[in-house]
Amino acid sequence: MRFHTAFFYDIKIQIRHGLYAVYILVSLFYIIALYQIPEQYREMVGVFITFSDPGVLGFFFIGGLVLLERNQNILDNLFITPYKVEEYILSKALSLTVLSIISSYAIHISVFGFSFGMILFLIGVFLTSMFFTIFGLGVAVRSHTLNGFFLLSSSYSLIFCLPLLELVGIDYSLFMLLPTKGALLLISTAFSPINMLEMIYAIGILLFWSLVAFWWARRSFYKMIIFKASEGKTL
Amino acid sequence: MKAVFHLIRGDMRQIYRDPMLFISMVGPILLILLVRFIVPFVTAHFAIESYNVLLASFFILLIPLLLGVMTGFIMLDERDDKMIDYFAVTPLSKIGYLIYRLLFPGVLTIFYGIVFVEWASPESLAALDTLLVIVMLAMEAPIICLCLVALAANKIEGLALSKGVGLVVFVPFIIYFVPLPWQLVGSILPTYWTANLFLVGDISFGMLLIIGILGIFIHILYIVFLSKQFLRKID
Amino acid sequence: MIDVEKLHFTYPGRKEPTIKGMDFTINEGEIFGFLGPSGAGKSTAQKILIGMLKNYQGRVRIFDQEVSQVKRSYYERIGVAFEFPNFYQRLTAMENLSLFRSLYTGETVAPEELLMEMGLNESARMKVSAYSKGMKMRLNLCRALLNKPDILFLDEPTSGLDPLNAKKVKNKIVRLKEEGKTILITTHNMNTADEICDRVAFIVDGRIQLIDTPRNLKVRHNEKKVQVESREKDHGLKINEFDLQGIGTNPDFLTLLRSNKIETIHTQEATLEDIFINVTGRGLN
Repeated sequence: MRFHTAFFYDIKIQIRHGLYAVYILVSLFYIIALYQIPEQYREMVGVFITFSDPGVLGFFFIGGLVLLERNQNILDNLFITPYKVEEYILSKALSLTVLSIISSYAIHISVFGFSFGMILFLIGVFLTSMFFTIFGLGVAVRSHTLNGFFLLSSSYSLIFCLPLLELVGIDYSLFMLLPTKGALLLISTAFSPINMLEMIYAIGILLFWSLVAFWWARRSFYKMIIFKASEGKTL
Repeated sequence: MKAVFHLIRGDMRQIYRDPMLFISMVGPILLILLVRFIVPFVTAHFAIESYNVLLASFFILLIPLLLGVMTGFIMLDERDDKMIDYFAVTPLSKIGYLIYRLLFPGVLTIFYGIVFVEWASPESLAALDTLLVIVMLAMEAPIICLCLVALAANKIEGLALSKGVGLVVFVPFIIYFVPLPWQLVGSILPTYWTANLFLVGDISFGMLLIIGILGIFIHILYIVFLSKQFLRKID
Repeated sequence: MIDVEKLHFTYPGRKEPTIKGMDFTINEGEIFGFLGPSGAGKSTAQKILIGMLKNYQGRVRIFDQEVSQVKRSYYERIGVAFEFPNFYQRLTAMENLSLFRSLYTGETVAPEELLMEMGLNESARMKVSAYSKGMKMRLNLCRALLNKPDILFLDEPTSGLDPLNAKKVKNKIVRLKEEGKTILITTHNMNTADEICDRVAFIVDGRIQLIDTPRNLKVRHNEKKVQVESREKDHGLKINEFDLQGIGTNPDFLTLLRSNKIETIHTQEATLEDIFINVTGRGLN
């Protein structure tokens, strides 16, 4: 009851702040852009776009959502209720993931139509968004300004972007340890099927990193928000 | 004057504390280096050198976008934290605050724009073209910044808007791929005119003057309208 | 209900402690006031009681458990209204209350009821961004009452309210007390404290200087004098002071009483504010 109402209101707040409106525009843009791209590159670019935009949109927006709630002291008001930090993190991540999935799905079926790998593709988007949003939340509670958030998050996430190099042909086996590798693998199943082992690896690595991110975000949240380690610091 | 001095001192402190401002200075430099060294290499590799000018007209728009969004984020933070109310009751006044904030990305854009056109761009422009491009570019950074703060009520909406507003940098592709008169739809956007100067090729002096005057007029229109909107919003 | 012993607290990274030894007990069904200038440690003490700051020294027992150890279920039983009323600006008042209400698992009050009581029923469907400060303050109190809390923590509950609405809020607080709620009010508004608090604690520099009922304080600190203002023919307004002791036989006073020139008569009661300044040697602002 508590969780699903919080989740419902998170989505409502995102709609009221224009996130859905803007993603209609952005998705439309990608659909048109993808049609302009020569067919032999279209799938590759499609994978890249799905990962780098709808896939990680939560990462982009979580900073604003958390910073606003924090600087307006809404967080203080939330955590003098029985609401749990774990519920807060999950509600934020799941609600933003809903937008990720809708947007990726819309772009994909508009450009490429339905395909067999659809379920795995969506699982890929789901896990990618969950990981990056939770991770972003951990960064957000450590930041005090939007620009600070984007600096911190882009320097943290640089390493996660390394596997994107494989799209232009650069690949190292060490990339296998990063969640992005699993994300790209799952998202590309829409075009090229993967075997069971690859599937288990991809889902496993994303789940593993999501759990790590959750543990870290939870710890950061307790430290920065609940125990007020940043109390008295200026914005 | 003293108020401005204090603001600058505050900014210097913030540059030191908030490394994103530092990045906003380094970001355009990286962009310029990319266009100068990497883009020609890549286009040569794929034998698509004919796109060099298109890419240049696209990349140059990223400079005002980056600086404008960054300044917009600072102002959104300041407004959410009620800092603008504080500036409004100092001798600086609200308009003084706005001008001061907008000058920062404007002046930086002029500087980077000149370096870009004179040194990095694959296609050199005539003196008058360069002047017109720089003047318009210098106005685009404040326009993008104003878009965020005039239309968004808080930082979440600002983030959402920055996603949408960011799409204007793709206008060069419309000019390049969409034939006249259809591409004129894009002419209500300021970036249409900047990109046009790169992409129209050889035209008469009179035509150039028309593009220049119309372009600058549209830019001014945006600045005036959005500034009014912003000032009304913080009343 | 609330039992505090030898409470000390220092914010991480600061040398000077904010709370330097506090002892007090708040009984069930009591309205207790924390009075003091800003920066005295009132809000910090309140945050500790709420369980927001856990690394304190000393004993803080509420509902017979140490506050630093409480589980989240503790929050089912308390209600808090912070000094600054913050809400989701893009949601209506009703939506905000429904959202916060859903976070409780125990019994809750219908938001409509609370909005009605606070005179906000007509603006229930308005976005909070269109609310005035006074409306937000009342909405803030509504939010604190959603879960029928046994203990209420109210930070400056009447600040920013016009006299009529301040009255509404004060009446509500007194009614809650009559229902058996325990209420801790933090304020630097002495009038509010005087009107509704059963006992008040004067807090200065992280310490409690004194705890007593407003009435006792006033009786003890009264100057026991009567001030009489009278209208003289040529001299305009004239003010005379008389000792209450033996006033019935004071000839000057009796003459004045018979003279028909009196405009006002007051006993010189010290206000809580005077007493505060007297006791602590500090002003309130």
